[in-house]
Amino acid sequence: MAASDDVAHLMRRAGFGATASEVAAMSAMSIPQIVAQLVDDVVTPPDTNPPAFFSDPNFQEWEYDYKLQQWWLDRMATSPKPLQEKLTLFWHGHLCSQNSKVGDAKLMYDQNKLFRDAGMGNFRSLIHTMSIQPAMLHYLDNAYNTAGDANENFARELMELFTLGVNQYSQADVAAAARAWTGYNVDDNDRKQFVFYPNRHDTGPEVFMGQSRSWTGPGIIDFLLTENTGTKMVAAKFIVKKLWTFFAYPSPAQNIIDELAQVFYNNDLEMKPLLTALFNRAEFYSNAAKQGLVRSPTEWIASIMKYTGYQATELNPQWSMPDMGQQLFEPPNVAGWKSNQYWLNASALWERCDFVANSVINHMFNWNNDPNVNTTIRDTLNTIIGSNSPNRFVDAVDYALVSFGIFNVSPNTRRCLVAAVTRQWHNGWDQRAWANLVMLVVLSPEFNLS
Amino acid sequence: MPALTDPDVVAMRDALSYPETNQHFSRRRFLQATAVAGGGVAMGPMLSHLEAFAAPPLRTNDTILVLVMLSGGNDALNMVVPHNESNYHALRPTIGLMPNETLNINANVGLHPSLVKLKARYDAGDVAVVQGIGYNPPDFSHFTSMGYWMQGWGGPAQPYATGWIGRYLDGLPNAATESLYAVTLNTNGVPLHLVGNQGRGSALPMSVDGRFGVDRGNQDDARLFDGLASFAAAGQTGLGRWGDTIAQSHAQVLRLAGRIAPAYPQNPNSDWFARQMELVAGLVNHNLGIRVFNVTLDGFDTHTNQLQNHADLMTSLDAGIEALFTKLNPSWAANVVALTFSEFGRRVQENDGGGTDHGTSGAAFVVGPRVNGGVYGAQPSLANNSLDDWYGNPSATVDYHSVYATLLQKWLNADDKQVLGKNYAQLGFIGSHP
Repeated sequence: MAASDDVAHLMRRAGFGATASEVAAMSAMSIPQIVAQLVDDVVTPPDTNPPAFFSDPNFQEWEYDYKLQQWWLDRMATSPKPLQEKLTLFWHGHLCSQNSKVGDAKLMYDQNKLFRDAGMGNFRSLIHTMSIQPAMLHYLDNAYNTAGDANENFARELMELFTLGVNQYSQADVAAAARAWTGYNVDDNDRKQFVFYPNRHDTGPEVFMGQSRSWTGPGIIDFLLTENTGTKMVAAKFIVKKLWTFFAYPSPAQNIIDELAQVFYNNDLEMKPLLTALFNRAEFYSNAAKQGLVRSPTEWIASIMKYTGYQATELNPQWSMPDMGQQLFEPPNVAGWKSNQYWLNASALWERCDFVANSVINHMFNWNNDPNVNTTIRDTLNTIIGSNSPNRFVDAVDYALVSFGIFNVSPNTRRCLVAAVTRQWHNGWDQRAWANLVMLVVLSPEFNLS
Repeated sequence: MPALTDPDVVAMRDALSYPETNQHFSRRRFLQATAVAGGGVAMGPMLSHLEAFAAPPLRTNDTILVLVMLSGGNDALNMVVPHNESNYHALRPTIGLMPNETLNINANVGLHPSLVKLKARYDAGDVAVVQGIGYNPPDFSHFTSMGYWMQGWGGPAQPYATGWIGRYLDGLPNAATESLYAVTLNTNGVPLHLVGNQGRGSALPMSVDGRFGVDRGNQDDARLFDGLASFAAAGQTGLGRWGDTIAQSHAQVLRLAGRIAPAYPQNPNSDWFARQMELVAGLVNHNLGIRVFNVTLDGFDTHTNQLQNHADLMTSLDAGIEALFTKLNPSWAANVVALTFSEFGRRVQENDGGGTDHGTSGAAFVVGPRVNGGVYGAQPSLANNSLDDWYGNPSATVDYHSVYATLLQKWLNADDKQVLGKNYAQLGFIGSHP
């Protein structure tokens, strides 16, 4: 039977947090059993393709963009298979496209759907499909890559950022791969579909990694990730290190990378065995791991939505996320987002403070008494704080912490919260006692850690 | 300097190398992209005993630099008009400005007619005009070209992920934790030129009305703010390095809010650019220790209808520079120099839409009471045989790094070679130091 603290940690990382009852239920299982349930690529709930708002002709392109952000945040907060959404977020930050360049939210959705549908499958298959989706063809200019006028942008990033890492290839390899990818463009007319134009494809031969052949674009991927066992292992280590950094902590020890990479390699780059091994490793449950990551704005917001039950249309987080440093479908560049200190500059955290004060708490106040607004946390806190119990402040703090998935609070945070709610209780019953307490819990170090 | 093998570094190169193939990629988006990318620069952990946002106040002989970013590619040829270039008038039959329209500063050069107040400052000796500014070979992508200007590096290995002001900040005391040495207004995040290896500027909002931590007048709000600050009060949270950093960063948010709020003008200017400049003046007057400001005037990508659009922009520029120097306390005005810059100039030949396309050589203004007024650099010839074969662009005569080198050495008392990676010729536009 798993320790509840380990279960809560696993669910923060492999998802967006768990409620007390979810943790209790899962703690009846062992960690391997829980991991086996998480690592499941049957997309749940089923994905309607595309989401309904895309068929509403009243929306303009910029509205599709923000509605897509809202749609994904809602999925993150409510999915019964949260690892699917978390891994989709990982792939979005690894195989990046920015809608400011792609300019079509539907194409971004198609890419997002690929990450959800295939993100737990075979890595090589994912790379194959990702490479010829219009979002990537537009983003890294392979849409313009034609024989005699090769554009190296995609060919370089395919190796440097998507599969191998820097210094694993030469500039000549980039030039050869770019020629191999010529003709893999988008439809000349609607620019929304992949089309291979044989007359724009450079038939070579090109010398790529020492092999003179008439290379094709997909042939480059197969060479790197199947035929050439050296680059296949390089790619395995490259992906493992990035996954560990995303799910556990940055700069893992070499033996962790090597051992997990061997699992990945031995399973022909299948993601499920790798994820299973990763989430079952002892280091994943170490103190270094549990204290090792700051919640990104996306994780922080999706968690708020999960614990409050509020939807993205109620909180409109998409307007605050750019200033927090993370806008979905808009990674900063092809290398994606980083971690930890990346999120902790004062102006970005200032935006988190404003979002809690202006959006979350305002909604929980429910000034219009809308019966559809969930006010359970507010009402329960008011009941506890308004009781005659001598422990009412401590009880309120403990209830608020558990309501937001903090089951193992530090003495410092708990003491600060009790002091704050006690101070706020200055003049009898007070609306701000519960509100300040909720805001402080959401802004606490615990809730900002992943 | 980071090595080329650093993945973050390589990523920045790629971030800055996208050709401009998509009109949705606005200038603001670009700044945002580079800003957030800059946030990825590895910085050391904040140490608990160091107080961020407690910049030492400036002393009476400290200097302040205001960077005015003219985004979109300013048409230098209509800002600083080279009347002696006969081809100027031949290639710009409809948008060219005539000698009887411009505000002439000598027989060859006239300022745009909207720059009335700036012309008066020029006449008083407070404005340096630098002509022919740019780099060779040129790049016509907004993204790439502005990236060069922001990086400002001429050394052997490109520090793609840092900018020239950021590397200047690296040389200041407590650079890693002092976030108020440099600030940017009106950008979404901190742009690349304010990001160093340790030092990094802060993005300040254009208004602090209603923002968290600003108004302690409401007792309940004040208790909330104090509660948030209390997480860091014990020094350690018991949650490790990142837990400590989160708690301390929130305390810094509150200190920042409290410190900067009084500097915001009560009745902000209705012109968006002048509003930024008045805010700069307010922040200087309150002496928060800020040494570098970055402000933005957007909209210079005048592919169409340039005559009117560019005139409006010049009017804003003129009003903004005037607002800065009139709102500065007299005791501070002599410590301030403003520099305008843009990613490139525009094509000499006007296009069919009454506008101009992306070009090369630009012009800059350096403004302040301690500036040696006059014309610097050299207007590149616009004769047909001097223009390139492809687009008919002239070659820049003054490397933009020379402007930076002059400001670093003569104004900011910094080691220009260290910051720029190379020695560049100095221009003489700084007259004296406070």
